[in-house]
Amino acid sequence: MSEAKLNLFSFSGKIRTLHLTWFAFFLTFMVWFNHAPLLAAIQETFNLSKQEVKALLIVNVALTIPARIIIGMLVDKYGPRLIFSGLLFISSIICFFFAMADSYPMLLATRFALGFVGAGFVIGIRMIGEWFPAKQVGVAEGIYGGWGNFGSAASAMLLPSLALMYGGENGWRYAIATTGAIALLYSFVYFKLARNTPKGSTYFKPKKTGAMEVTSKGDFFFYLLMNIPMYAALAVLAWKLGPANLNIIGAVATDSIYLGLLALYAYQTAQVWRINKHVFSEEVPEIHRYKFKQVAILDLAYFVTFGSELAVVSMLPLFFKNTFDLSMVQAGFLASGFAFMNLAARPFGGLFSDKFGRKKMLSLLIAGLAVGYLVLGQITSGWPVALAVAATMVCSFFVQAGEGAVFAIVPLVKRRMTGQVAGMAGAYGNVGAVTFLTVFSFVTPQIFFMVIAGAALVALVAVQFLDEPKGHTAEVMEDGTVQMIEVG
Amino acid sequence: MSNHLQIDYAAVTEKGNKEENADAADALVPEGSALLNKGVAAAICDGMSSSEGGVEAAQICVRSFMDDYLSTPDSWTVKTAATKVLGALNRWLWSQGQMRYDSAKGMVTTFTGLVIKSTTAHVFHVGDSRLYLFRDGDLEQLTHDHRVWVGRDRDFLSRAMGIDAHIDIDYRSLAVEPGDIFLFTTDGVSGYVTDNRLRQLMRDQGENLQACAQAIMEEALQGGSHDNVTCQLLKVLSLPEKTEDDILQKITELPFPPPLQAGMKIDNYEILRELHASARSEVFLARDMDQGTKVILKTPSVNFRDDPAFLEGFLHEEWVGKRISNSHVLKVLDTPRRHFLYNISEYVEGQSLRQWMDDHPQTHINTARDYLAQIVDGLRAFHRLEMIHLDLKPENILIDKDGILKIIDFGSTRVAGATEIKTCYASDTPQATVDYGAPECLKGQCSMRSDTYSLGVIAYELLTGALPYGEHDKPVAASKLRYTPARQHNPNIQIWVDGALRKALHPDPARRYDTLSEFLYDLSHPNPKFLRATDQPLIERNPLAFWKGTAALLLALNLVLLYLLTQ
Repeated sequence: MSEAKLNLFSFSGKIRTLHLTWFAFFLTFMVWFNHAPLLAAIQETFNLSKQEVKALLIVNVALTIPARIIIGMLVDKYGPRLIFSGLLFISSIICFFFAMADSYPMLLATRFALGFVGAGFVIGIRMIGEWFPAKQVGVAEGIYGGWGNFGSAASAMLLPSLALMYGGENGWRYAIATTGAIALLYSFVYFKLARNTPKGSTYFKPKKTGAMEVTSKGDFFFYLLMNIPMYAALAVLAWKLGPANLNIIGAVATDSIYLGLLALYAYQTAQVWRINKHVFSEEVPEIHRYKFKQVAILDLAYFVTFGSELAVVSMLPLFFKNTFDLSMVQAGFLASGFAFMNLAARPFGGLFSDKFGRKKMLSLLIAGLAVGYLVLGQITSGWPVALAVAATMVCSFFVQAGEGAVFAIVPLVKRRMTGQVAGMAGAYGNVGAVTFLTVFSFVTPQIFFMVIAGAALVALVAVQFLDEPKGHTAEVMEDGTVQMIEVG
Repeated sequence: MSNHLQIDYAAVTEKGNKEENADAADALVPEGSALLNKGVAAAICDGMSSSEGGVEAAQICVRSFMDDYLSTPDSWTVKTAATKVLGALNRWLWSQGQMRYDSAKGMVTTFTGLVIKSTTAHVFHVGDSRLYLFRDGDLEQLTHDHRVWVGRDRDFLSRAMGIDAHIDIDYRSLAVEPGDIFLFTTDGVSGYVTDNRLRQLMRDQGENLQACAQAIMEEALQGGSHDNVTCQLLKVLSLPEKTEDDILQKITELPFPPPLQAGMKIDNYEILRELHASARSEVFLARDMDQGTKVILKTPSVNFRDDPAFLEGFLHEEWVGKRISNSHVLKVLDTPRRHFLYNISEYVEGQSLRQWMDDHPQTHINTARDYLAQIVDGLRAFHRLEMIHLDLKPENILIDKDGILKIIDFGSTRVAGATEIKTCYASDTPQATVDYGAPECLKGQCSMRSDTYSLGVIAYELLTGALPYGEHDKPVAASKLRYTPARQHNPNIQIWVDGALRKALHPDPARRYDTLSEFLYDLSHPNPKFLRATDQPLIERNPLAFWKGTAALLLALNLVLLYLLTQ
């Protein structure tokens, strides 16, 4: 009655949902990074300084951190179908405003607002989880995440040519507006065709939580500590834009942002307390216990993998253009090689992790990406372009396979909390992006790559503290008989 | 500390000055799962002395109450079970009294019964025997003597078992605490030992139940009791206090099977092929290697590996299935050699009602009647056991080759008796399916009429191929439901059939059918109430036409105004 294998050429049932949803995610990524390959043109139009260009890159990823939380709550309330359609719809409008911007502040404001679209990932994960049985959900989410992330590569490959085709000084504006138009159209398509659950499936009320559960006193404080970087990243951004640095927003505005972030942190701490205060009065039953350390390590791993990917995807086209003195089209096309690996690397990372041991694989991949970034840090104009592109592709393979490996471990921390663990890791990816791009705004690309490599080494050490997650406790014998194994 | 209900009890009886002892008292502590599902039962009876069969009546009453109570379905609440048992007992005593002794006093007895299930005590009382609760050094009388006073020192028993075919039984329930002692006495004690003395005796000797009972009896005899003297004590030693660990440990005693594939052998089953896999469970066709028969093997999804509420629900489904025996309900089979978490049910070769409806849109009313009658038959089996299915939908009904319908999937079924057992995972919001679950279930107020609603949706869909309130993405509140008359989808439907559907589908459960059979009856017999449908305003009969008409009228008015303005 139902296929046991994934037939990706089908367009019915859950596969149809997968296709509809990864494409929606693909479009959000395309819109989110539609500025990167066109930065040279934008810089020219507005006569921007290097610092101003870099600030544009940071604001793009800043709002995503809080947006993920808001989107997560909205999906709980209204379901993924409406929220994904709504996100595409709204981001297309903001995208049009970006395309029509007539000043640098407007560019910044619209780009900042577009950070919201980066939260699309959360929605689709929910959708896929609802449609796929446990044994297929890993592969399905790998395809969803990998093919969707490819959206930034598509932007890098297509938009410069598109801008050239439209021609003239405003070509880049039309190119960006085109991505918005596609998103706008697709928002209606998605609403029309997608469904929240398979037909006739039993409705489960989502559990309401304001914060993640922890299961020991130590973990309670550990969790509060791990929340700080999310606010700190936004504070750094405010500082960057404030009078101390770029002086784009005033002192009063900057201070009120600091205050707002402080208030938010206090509010979140109150939520954490409300949900977890019982750990101070009674012991949590054994069966519910887990180590928050595992979550924190995965957060760090995602910080260097996904965080560096977002940062590199933002700066790579301009870097290639400047280093090798290429045209915008060429640079965009070559830089797309980094995100291109997504198609295969991310699903493979998950697969390898399941097969060869999760901790070992994650260590290997992070070590690989540390070396990869060290190599990227050596790129100079003296390198053959082909070699530079090959290096980025090899490096990006490790980065994206690492992302897949992180998400292969996420459900094993605590099944019940998979969504929350995934949400926090995802947020850390964005914190990584903000951090790395802020670093980028102060240093040369060479040092930028070295900093990522350094961060990766720190993450590599952290991963050594990961407890190898437990798998099944039953084994299948050669003849197909299922056998019980005694576990400690 | 022990984690289940443990009690100690003692009873003494003496005929005193009387010739016969018409008192009876006993307690019963079942073993195994019955202790969990039924609890501990105790009773005291005092056969009326002026009644010819009083001695026999009291003994039968105590014995039968305990035996019959234990054999009621596990799914019933204590109250339902005891009420049914006592009602039947009363009728039997009354008719025996009439037959054997030809008098209303033939077999008459008082009855005071106690059931402790989980952490709640349920008291059933009629007559003038007494039940006291001794807690923290204080004695409280839980029952009220049913006596009427005629004159200063003459009183009569006003209510008792066996006097009339009808009986009113006092019922109350209270929370039990460890250390509580329940004291049962007959009027041979209560007339001669004051409550103050009883309290004193309990305080002095409460540790030794047997000695305490003895002391109370002796005090009564010394006090000059000229009636049978009976006293029973029941002490609660420990209560079931389940921690989450216990429950989950019990659930997860069975490990998850590994991902199953065709050809694998698990216990004595060989997996033949996968039938269905969703984010919640996986269903396989398997072969029982002992018997060679085909069976269905269902496992929960590993997504819920550490979700006790879901796993409990999975085991609950099996519990429900094993208690229902009806040709229109899927049989859940025994799994004596199970080492993994799965359940086995009979294999029904056929298709789901959903598939059938896809093949036969807008079925003929006769087929629909036949199918609905079969579903109702299955549903009645649930309702008789105080179970509500709560997830009735075409996907959950199978049709076999011979056209026999079977209800499947009892994962959402609410069992009245089970909600009395204390666990941490009683879910407040049952899981239903959008467009099939009754709106009141959203608020957690499910009743048997919620199943009527779901059945109504199926009936409507059978006849029209559409849903009565349209298709939705998530549950809709009752106030937002607007019924689309079935005749709009299928003009062949009689107006009274539509009326019956509408009543079954009423958003307010109080205005739905009382019983399923009424609904069935109205589907095949024109109900005069529904024939006057033409009296209804157009806006209810056909809202679309009404609004179209209104819009046309407004347009015409506007045109007239426009014309006048331009003049």
